[in-house]
Amino acid sequence: MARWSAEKWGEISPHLDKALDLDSHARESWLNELDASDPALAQQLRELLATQQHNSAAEFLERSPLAPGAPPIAGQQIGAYTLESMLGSGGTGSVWLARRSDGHFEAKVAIKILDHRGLGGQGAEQIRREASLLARQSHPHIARLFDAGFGTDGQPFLILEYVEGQRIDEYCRSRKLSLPARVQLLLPIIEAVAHAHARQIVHRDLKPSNILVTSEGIAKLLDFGVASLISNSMPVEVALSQHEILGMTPGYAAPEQIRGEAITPASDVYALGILLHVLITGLHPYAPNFSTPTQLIRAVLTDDADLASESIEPGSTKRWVRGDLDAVIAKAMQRDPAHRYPSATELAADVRRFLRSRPVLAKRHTLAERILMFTRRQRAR
Amino acid sequence: MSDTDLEFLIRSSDGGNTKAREQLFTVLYGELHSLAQRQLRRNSALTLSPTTLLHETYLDMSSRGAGTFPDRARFLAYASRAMRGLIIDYFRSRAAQKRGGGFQITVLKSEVVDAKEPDIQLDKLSEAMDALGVIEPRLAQVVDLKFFCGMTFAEIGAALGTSERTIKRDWEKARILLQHELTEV
Repeated sequence: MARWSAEKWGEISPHLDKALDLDSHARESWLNELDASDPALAQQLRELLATQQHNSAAEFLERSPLAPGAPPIAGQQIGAYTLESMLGSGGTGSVWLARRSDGHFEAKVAIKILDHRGLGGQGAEQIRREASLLARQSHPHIARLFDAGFGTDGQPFLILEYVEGQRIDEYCRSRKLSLPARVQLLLPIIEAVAHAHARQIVHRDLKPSNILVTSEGIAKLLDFGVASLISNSMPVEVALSQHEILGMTPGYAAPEQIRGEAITPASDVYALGILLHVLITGLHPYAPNFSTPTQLIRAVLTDDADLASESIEPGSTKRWVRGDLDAVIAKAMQRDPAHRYPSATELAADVRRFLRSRPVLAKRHTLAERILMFTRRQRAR
Repeated sequence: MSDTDLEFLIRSSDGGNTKAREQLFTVLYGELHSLAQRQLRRNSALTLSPTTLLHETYLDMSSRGAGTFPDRARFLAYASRAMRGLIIDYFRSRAAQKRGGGFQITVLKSEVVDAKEPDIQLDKLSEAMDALGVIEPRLAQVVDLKFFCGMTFAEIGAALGTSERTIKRDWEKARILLQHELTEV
């Protein structure tokens, strides 16, 4: 192919602009028309467009020459920190234990490196903004987000408080905690979520692996706001694939989350209801109804879960759960978000009432519903 | 170089004086290079990205004297080309070191600690970029800002005062021309 001169390029460039602006269908018919009037031009344009297709397919010049393009490795520097070891990895990236490398003070942090390179300017700006919002929130039971930044190739990372501990469900099991102790352990977490809800922050991804209990017995919530920070700032197509990944472990996702509808504080309330159920019974509330993820999703969308006490052997613990605690969990896990506690604040209040042997609001509410249903049945007769 | 000299260079370059333009690139190359080295000396753990380096250089130059570059966009227009030179020189020197040339360069050291050899021959790309600069200078500028400086389409659009859509089209056109230049024997 001949080398381009400025003149020759100047002639064809406006035609190429036009071709590039058309979608592939319109472009093809335009080129076909051009075949009749100016076949040489049409031919040249086709060659240029073929090169363009090749470039896109080959991702020509898409990666910065300075971008390593390789996954993070131990010893790598991220800002003022050195990555030490990988704590875990998943659909959104990897989490690393890191240490400050300037030697001023010994500080361990967790660094979450997100897998998405080359975020648009808007996405990057949003991450920065939301991260600064999250960084300002401080609660003894929420692992802090210290900072967010971007690696050399625009790869976003979050610097988080490093929490050394055991997953809350494993902690309860291994220590054989009593049921009241389990509810006591989770209460500060519900209160921490309430604290965030009061600041318009939703967690979106509450599950046992996001709650760690330290050796001092303090439960800490990880990744607060991180899920929303990721999906809000990602381009739509990335956010969608993210959703698919979340859909793979739907055990704690509320029905509206599964359906891809608006996520509100009530979605966190749902997940907290499941958590209560799981910690008390050791079983997922839909456990009898599914053996595959698809069945679980269907059950979450269409069935009412069994009451927590129904999964407990008859005895004093069953009696402790039956009634008020059952009602609290059932209200948190309502399929319709409008029937749940509006936020974790109300759920926390009811759990506290239960622990103080006071009547919970949830029970009264379901009683009222029962009376309403009863009268409806009477009228339908 | 005093500020009046720099202003004169910018004015002459804007007016189309190629000699002044080359001199301006040399000045900016020196600024980027020395700032990168200063940063690395201060904190060897620092990770320097081209975008950060450009930003810091701009701030550094404007804080030293008022009335250098009229705005950030004009600075980027010239400095992005200097960044291209810096990056290409860096990879050339690495290649020279590998061949036993023993050429020493510390710029962008921490940045490229585990950078792989770039997929394309930067030497050839450098020539192709020069050719592109002759065919349509604006397209070369878009490649400088996107590929060598790591800016996004939106940022480039904002810097050049045009729409993101136009920049994307320019990027496609630039890549077509570069591909032709590179595949030609």
